[in-house]
Amino acid sequence: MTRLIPKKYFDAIMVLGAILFQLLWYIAHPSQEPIVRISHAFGVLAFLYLSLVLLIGPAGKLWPWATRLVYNRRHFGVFTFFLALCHGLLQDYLTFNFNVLALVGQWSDYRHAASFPFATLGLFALIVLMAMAATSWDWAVKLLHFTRWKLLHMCVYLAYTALIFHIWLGALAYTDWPVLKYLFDLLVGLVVLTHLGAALKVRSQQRKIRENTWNSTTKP
Amino acid sequence: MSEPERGSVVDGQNRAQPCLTREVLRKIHLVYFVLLALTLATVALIEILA
Repeated sequence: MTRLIPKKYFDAIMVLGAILFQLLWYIAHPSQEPIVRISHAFGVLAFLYLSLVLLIGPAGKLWPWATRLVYNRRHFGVFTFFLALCHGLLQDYLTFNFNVLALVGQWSDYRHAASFPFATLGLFALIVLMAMAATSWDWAVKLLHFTRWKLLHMCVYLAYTALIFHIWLGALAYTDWPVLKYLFDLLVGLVVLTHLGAALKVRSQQRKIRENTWNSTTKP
Repeated sequence: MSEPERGSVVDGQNRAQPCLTREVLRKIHLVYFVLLALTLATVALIEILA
């Protein structure tokens, strides 16, 4: 039987990871204004954690040992939402003084990549994560019924896509660390390929089951 | 014979089946990730060429 990781240990690892990351970001950017540095670290960490959350599901399908992490996925996702919320609130305060309308309206040229309002993409992802965090409870699954609840939670893929472009057009367009771009591409590539691999594996397994059922029912 | 439920389709044996099944969700997931991979590869290629 697979041994599960108790929630309190998993929570401790998540919180410790967040504190360590803030310290690392502080060492890497000592001259940055503290509030800006903390906000950026929250944003990077939220994306990193969201990528890990998204890796758990397909990893469990590809490698059975990873299924034990599925038990901790919801907690991980809700914690990630709070990290993203901290980043969103701090950035909104720093740039727009908590004016959400200004956030959506600024650089309102949606036709060109260079002037695309990337903050809007981040806001969209934050709203999706908020809806998911609010429904990450057993009563929500019962209330919405599994397939509808699953469809809502599959919106995380839309949010993830929005975040990829939010980071590409925002933080990575202005970074002075080219290595960050490669690390980001590597992480996104890993998430996308793992999902494709798992989906294709499940598809082929189901085809085999269908063929076996068909053969057993049609045998004379 | 009873009427099929709203939001359902009728299978070969006239049983009401929900439209949104796990199988459909799996297909949406696969198609979405194929499209995402193609989009990201295209954007990366454009960036390399530019």
